[in-house]
Amino acid sequence: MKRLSDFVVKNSKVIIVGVVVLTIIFGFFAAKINVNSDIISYLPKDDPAVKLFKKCGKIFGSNYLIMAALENPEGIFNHKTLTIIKDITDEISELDGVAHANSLTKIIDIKEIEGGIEVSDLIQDEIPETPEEIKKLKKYVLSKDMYKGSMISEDGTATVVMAKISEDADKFAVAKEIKDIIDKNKGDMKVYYTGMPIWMVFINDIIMNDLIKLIPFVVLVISLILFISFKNFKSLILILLTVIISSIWSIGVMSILGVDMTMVSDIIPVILIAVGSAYGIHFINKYMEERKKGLTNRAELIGKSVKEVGIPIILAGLTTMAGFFSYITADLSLVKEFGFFTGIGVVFTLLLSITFIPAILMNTDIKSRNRHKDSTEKHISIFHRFMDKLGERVIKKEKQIVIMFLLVAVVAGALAFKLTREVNMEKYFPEDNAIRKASEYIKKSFGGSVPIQLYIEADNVKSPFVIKQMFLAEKYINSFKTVSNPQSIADMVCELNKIMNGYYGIPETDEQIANLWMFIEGQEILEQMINSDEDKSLLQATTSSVDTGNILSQVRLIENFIENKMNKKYIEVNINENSDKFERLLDLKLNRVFEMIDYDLKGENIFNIDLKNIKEKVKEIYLNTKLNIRTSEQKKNNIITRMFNIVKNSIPEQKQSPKLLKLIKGDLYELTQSTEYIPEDIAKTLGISGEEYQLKAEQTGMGPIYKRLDKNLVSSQLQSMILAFIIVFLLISFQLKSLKGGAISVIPILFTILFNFGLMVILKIPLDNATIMIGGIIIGIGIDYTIHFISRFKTEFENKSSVEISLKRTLETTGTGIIINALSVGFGFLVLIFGTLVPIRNFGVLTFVTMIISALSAITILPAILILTKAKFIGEFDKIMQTDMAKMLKAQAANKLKNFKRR
Amino acid sequence: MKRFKILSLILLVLSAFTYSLIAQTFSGNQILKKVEDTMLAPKSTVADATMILIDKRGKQKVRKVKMWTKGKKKRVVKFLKPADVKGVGFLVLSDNDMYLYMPAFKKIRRIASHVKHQSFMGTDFSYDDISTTEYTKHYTGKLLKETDKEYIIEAKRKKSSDKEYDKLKMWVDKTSFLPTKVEMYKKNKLKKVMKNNKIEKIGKYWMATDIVMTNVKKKHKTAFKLENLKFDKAVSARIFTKRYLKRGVR
Repeated sequence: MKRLSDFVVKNSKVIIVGVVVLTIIFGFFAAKINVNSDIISYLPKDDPAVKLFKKCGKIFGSNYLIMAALENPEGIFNHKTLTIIKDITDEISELDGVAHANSLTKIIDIKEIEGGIEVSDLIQDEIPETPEEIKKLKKYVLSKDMYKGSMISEDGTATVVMAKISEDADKFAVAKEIKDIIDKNKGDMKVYYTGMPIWMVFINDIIMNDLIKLIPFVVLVISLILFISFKNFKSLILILLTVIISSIWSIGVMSILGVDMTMVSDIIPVILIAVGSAYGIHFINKYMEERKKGLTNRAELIGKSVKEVGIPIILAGLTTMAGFFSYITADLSLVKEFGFFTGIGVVFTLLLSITFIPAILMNTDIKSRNRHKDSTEKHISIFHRFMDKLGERVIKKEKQIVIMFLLVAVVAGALAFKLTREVNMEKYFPEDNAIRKASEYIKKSFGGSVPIQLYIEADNVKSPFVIKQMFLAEKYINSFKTVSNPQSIADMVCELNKIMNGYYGIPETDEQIANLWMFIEGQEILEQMINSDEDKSLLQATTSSVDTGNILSQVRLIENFIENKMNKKYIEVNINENSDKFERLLDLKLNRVFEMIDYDLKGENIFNIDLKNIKEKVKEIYLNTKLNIRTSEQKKNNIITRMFNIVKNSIPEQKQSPKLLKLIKGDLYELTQSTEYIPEDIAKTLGISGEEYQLKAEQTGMGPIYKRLDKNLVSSQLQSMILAFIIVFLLISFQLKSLKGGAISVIPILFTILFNFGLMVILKIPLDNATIMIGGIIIGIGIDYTIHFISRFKTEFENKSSVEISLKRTLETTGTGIIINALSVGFGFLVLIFGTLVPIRNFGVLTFVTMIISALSAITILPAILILTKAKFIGEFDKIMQTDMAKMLKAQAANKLKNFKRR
Repeated sequence: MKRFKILSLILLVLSAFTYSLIAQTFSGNQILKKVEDTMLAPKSTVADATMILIDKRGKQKVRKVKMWTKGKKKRVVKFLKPADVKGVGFLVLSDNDMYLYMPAFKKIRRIASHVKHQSFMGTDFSYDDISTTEYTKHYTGKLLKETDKEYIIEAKRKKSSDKEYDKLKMWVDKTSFLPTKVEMYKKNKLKKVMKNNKIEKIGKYWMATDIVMTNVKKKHKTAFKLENLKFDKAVSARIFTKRYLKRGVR
């Protein structure tokens, strides 16, 4: 320390110039920092879920979907509005980095015409102009399930433009361009945006705005607190300067290392300003204290101050740093980066506080003004009285205090298991935010924008086996309440087959599918569903769920479905060629048909239909009519219609939508085909062999990404907290030379952490990318309170005064300091409630509360345990206790006497 | 002998001179007309064709077809390969009368007339591209430039026309009067490029036998190669009927 202070004294000007130069350099880079709010980039690049997500993005042209709903209250079916939609769509399609753009003016239309079929764009080159044409178009569009509720709202007042941004494009920049195009062309229509890339655009803006908005705020709050405690402008400026400089440095280092700003790292400056000022305060306090004592030589003043407070400041800094650095183990890059760069920032603040501040003080003096001393004293005396009372309580009721804390800890700990997690970007926006409102609007009219996908690999994905399996999966996924807009090659084939053969189902042979395919070959939309080698396919839908828990349970259900139904070996059989096993095979076919019907019904929110009974009736018809491949088409149609009517009549009439009836009829037509694919294990037990078929399905889209984010959130929290505890425990044990001391010292922070989790459950605050940091902050900062308390208590104890007096003195001095520090740091954090994003607001509230809890537990539960355990590392309790007991008994007797007199 | 040489030289120079004189009098429209005439010269044709679909990653899909044409409008295309589409047939009787036969269902379906601008069976040719070449009916030509070997003309769509492209730019070979390259524009944006890589004289007709159509935005290409070309009498009229469409091909 001596060497350090000598160095600073000798080279004060060099240090000042150095800091200024470094600040200019770092500031230059800090100003150029990039912002990144792509949540997928927060996961490790080699994560299997991320790899699959990106792979599908590359093959099928992207997972980054933007949806813009354009609303015209008078209806969108008029020449002007449709022209706008067309212009927007065309312009977006031309953008580099847009893989696909879609809208009513570009969507594929598979239409039945007299005696034939037509596959074209819904609206071709010219937008209809005459009222009759417009009316015809409106009627047609609203009659098609393919468009209603996905491309156009049911009342025809809003329509969507969708754009998918290429996997390798700068998603943020392209999303912005898309938004600009729409905003430029929209006329007086109202536009609602949703989708990850667009959220990124808004979050990026918010990150920068919040940074600019919150820093002055926190500076103001901290200045106020500093001014109250120092009543000195110069020291206020000096301390603020150090924390601002260290903020600039850490952002600068981030920028130089190519690390982007995220929605959590934008609060690094706020944290550094709130937390880091303590070091400067310590130093200047000491400096002024020595100065008041009459020391005037600046070099000596600095030397003494550095010597006295240098070590405590470094120790406090080291533990805080440990709290943040512990997040380096996190499995989420934004958490990792936040921990690392805040830790670096703490180091910078620490270094500046013991070099830059003394270097400045070498060149300018600070005079303390004593004018306001009276009022300060008054404040402090209030604190003193409070602390005295507190001391008495702790001494008398140490057991009760421990029990009370234990109870709270147990309750909080039990609640902690109910802690929810939130990884959905949409929920980062507050409910009253325009983004959330827009999302809600789009969900209501068009379903969600969060992709659910099934990636399929097979030798030939256009084979009837694969398409039928995909069709089943599609029906299953679509049976979830929040899922809509399913899309796959199965739909395309069904649409064509409906026109060709009259039913919405998959034909039986490869050739039939290949023949139908001739109509749609080369259509742009297919690029999103099948690769050119035709060995990979993508089934997609969107979910409107914003609830992470709900999304994760969907992910699990789909995983189970894939495992039980998709990724199995199947054997092709002809049910009519195995006469001895015919009935068993027919049952298998019927089971699959009715599984499809079941999903179709659930998709339309119809439950409680006795399908088992209906299945028996259908089977009866099948057996009675001897339906088989040789049955004439006319007769087949009649038989299926009979079966269909049975199913139809069991559905309440108001729920018989044309779409549902079309699906059910299609399902039943499966019975006209004699080919069936049965699971290999069943085939074995039946002793049937045949050609083997297998596909490989994997779930992708946002679901598995959320699942991974969620899993990593939990693991990151646990890993980093355990690591932080170990580091802090070791540091303190080493300093106190007592493992027991280390263990006792972490109790207040352990309590605070449990309290925090309990509080989160009560306030319904989820664990997310921001609130995950609170544990580390509690450990890093909370431990300082313990350190200060114990070291003071130990010193007082060494003076051999009684336990009570030692405690009271500790509370009056250090206790007051702890509370003031916790309040100032807490208020600094509280500024974050003015942030825009929900996680940041929650973070602000929670850190404020936990700072106070952490300080309070350091001055209550900590001494209570120390007294209860008679911890040896503090001193010889027993010796002092005896005299203490005598005093206490005396006091109690006096109290009783007082009460007696009152009566 | 020497004299003959000189004479022939004079003749050659002269003919080149007159040729260039004639050529210079050609207007854009006249060139268009000549191109059209050259293309429509055979009364009917039959050929084996290979269509190679090439995507932006270079992946190829090969299809073999047999095709017949008659007059300005009538066309039949029958698929031979790949196996799962063998026998699929496409019949054009007129602009508004197109049919597709699907052997897997044994059904004939009409194809709507206004799909003209849509891709033909996944190729980069639209139904329109493969149908007729009545340039003068739809476009007004303008000569942009003339070189030793070719004319470069710009053809603008007439107001009455419903063609997809509002402007064509053509490089017309002076010997055959077939374009070596056609650029197709829509709102001044290049959409497609057609290149005739091989122009040969078969019998009395000039034919482009190696055509590559590129979709500029999609970066997708279709190569179209013609073989075993036969003309006129070799083509029977009964081929252009729905009944014949259903018949298999060897």
